[in-house]
This record gives sequence, structure tokens and C-alpha cells, in this order.
Amino acid sequence: MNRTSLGDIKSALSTIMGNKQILALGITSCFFEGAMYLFIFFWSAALKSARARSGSDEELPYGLIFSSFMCAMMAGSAFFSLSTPTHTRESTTFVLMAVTLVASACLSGAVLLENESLLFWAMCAVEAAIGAYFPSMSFLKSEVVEDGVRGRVYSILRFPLNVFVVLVHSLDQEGESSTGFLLNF
Amino acid sequence: MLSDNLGVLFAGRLAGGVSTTLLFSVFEAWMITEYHRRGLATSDLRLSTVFGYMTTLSCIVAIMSGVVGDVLVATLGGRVWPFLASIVCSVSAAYLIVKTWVSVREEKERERDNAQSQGWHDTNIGSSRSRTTAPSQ
Repeated sequence: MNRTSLGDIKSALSTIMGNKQILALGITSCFFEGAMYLFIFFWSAALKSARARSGSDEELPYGLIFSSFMCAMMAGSAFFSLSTPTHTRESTTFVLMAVTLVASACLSGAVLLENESLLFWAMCAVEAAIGAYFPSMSFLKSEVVEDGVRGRVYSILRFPLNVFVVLVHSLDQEGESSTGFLLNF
Repeated sequence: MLSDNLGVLFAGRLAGGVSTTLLFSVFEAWMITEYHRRGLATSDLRLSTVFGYMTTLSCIVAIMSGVVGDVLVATLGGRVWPFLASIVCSVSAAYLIVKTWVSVREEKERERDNAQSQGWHDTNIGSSRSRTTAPSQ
């Protein structure tokens, strides 16, 4: 069993390495979803320190903030569904690139912004970008990856993402870094 | 908390991480395979539309479960209850998956059984058994 699964991994790896489109999607998902996980980890701390800077010590409504983020994400995915009736590889690639651009701009903005409510809205924009990101990434992956190796390729594409998150967490500093994230595509 | 043992909590986190990774890769792979298996590619329903709805629906469920979790914490007191509620959700999801998903291997075997005679199957039972131990995709 070990030998067959090792062979499976090898064949999936060679599929990823041999296909530039899959490789590009893999790198994008690694950085984008990596930044997303860091964002999920850091948003409450970032809002808390923004509140502390504004001189208020009132407790933040975390449940409400989370719901707003989810609503923004829903708006993003609705945008993906409604933007065009028929999605092609080209249009979806465009959506994906626009989304990565918006998300990296907003994350960079979130690092620079001092104002509490502006920070919140920048974060909502990031969530909306994430909402449009997931369907476009899923669609592109379904287009590019062949059925026979799909499960294996998908699992292997998750691996660099997890490594990325662990690595960045081990470098934890105050505030999230989003620079690695601009390298997409 | 149900356990004060840091080791147990750590193991729980580990299992949670593994299942999150599986959730993101396996479900999507299954859905695309099922989409093609049912021949939906020729219908009006686009795969991109399905993905769009999938994300929208997950957001709605996330909002609702946020509210439900909040209500649970407020009424029953204690932050353990949302975790227990998620156990119920996961077990029912696992039950539904086991009951309703047709595995690719199972289907291929059924097709082969229909196509080939029983004698052919008997002589190959060894190889099919070794195949069942292979990791599924």
C-alpha cells in the first residue's frame, strides 16, 4: 500500500510540475489562501488594537463583525455567479486576477490604515474578494485538472499552503504581512 | 471544557486540521466527478454556477451557525455547547455521505459485473481485493 501511494504522489507531482496552468493555480492558492488563514487569525487582534488606538475600551461585537464578514463573502460569491451567465476559462481567470489584486490592495491598506471603521471596511472588502475567489478557483481547477488525478492533485496542492501558513506563523510579528501575496500570477 | 489534558486538546486540533484539509480537497473532487457522472455537463447547469451557489450557501450557513452558536452559549451557558452541536452536524454529514455517495470504484465494479460473466469475476477476486486496499482518491 505504501508503494502504491508513494507512486500516486509521484504521478500527481509530475502532473502539477508538468502543467504550467496547474502550477500557477497552485501557487496562487498557496499565497491567497495562506493570506486568508493569516487574516482569519489576525483580524480580531487588528481590530482590537485599532480600537485601543482610538481611545475606547468598549468590547467589540465579535459575533456581529463575523456576520458582516460572512455577508461580504456572500456578496462576493453572488458577484461571481451574477457577473456573467456563462463562465469561460478566460473570464474566470480575469475574475481571479481582479480578486487577488483587490485582496492584496485591501490587506496592504489594512496594514496602513489607522482609522477603526476604515479598517473594518477594508476587511469586509477582503472577505468579499475571498467570496469571489473560491468559486473561480474551484472552477479553474475543475477545468485544468483531469479527473483521474483530481483527488491526489487537490490534496497535494493543499500541502504548500499549510507549510506557508506554518512558516509565516513562526515569523509572527505584530500585524499581518501581505507582501508575499502580491507575487501572484 | 470536556478535557483539561493539553495533549487531548492538541490531538483534537490536529484532527480538526486534517479534516479541514480533507473537506476542502475531497468534497470538491467528489462534486466535480459526480457532476460529470450524472451527465450534467450537457445540461444547462454550469459547473461554475454550482461553485458560485456552493460558496453563497456556505456563507449563509456560516451566518446562521454563528447565530445558533451565540444562542447556545447564551441559553445553555458555557462555550462547550457549540462544539457539541458541531459533533452532531459532523456525524449526520458522515452518515449522509456513507448512505448517499456512490464511490467511483464501487460503480466501476458494478459495471464490470454487469459486463462480464461470473466466472471471470471469481478468478479475479484476488486482484479486486488488493485493489480495495489501495487508497481511494
